[in-house]
Amino acid sequence: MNILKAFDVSASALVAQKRRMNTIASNMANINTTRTPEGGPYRRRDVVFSSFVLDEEGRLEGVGVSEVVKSDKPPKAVYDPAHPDADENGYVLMPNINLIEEMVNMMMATRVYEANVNAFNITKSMYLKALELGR
Amino acid sequence: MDLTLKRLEEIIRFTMQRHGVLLSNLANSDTPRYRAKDVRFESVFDEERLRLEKTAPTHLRAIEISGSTETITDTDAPWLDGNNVEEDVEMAKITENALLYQTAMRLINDRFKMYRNLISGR
Repeated sequence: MNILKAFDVSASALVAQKRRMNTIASNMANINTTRTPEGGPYRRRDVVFSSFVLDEEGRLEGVGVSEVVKSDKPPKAVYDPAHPDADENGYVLMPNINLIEEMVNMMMATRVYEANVNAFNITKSMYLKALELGR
Repeated sequence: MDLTLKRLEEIIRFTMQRHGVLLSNLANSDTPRYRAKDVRFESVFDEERLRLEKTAPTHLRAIEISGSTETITDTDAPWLDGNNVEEDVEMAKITENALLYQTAMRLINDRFKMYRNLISGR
């Protein structure tokens, strides 16, 4: 096994978790967005992870974001007649985003990110130990 | 060849291999349908090859670490998405494995030091 490839495994996880973090951030930022380029209120996005093989023997598996899916949960109808996007009955279609769900997701992403940083550092110290052989 | 060094070299090779597999588990802790893997450590007793003198049954036997490692997959899946990686378990395994690696490295270094002393006659 090439130990340098082990760095790629952790790095792929860091990149994937960062993309997840970005998605969560845009969900939270757009919690009240009623207008989007594709029309209608903002739809919640979520990342889909998939693994890929990094070495010839198939032992090392990195992770990547294979796609970003939009939620098909129906938008919430909120009664707010003063809103410019309200319909004739006074209801506005708001994004169906649960702030608590996003926060929990964000904490999970942070924890997994940290765990992978730790694993990366362990790989690094193993590599440096090998350089000290015979000193 | 020095058999101690050979054994230690086998430990290094094994721990490095296992490290990569454990890193993959940790990286894929959120990947749907991913199953945790581990490397099985096969040890065989090969006294004939090692030519160790054994005069009593309580004497330690030399352990040959076989190079054939297999990737095993756990069958239980506690999460709904078909993933069975437990981050804490993987982290513990990574730490334990790294310590074994460092121990082997230390022993190799000590072995080298012994040779150096022997050569310089001190």
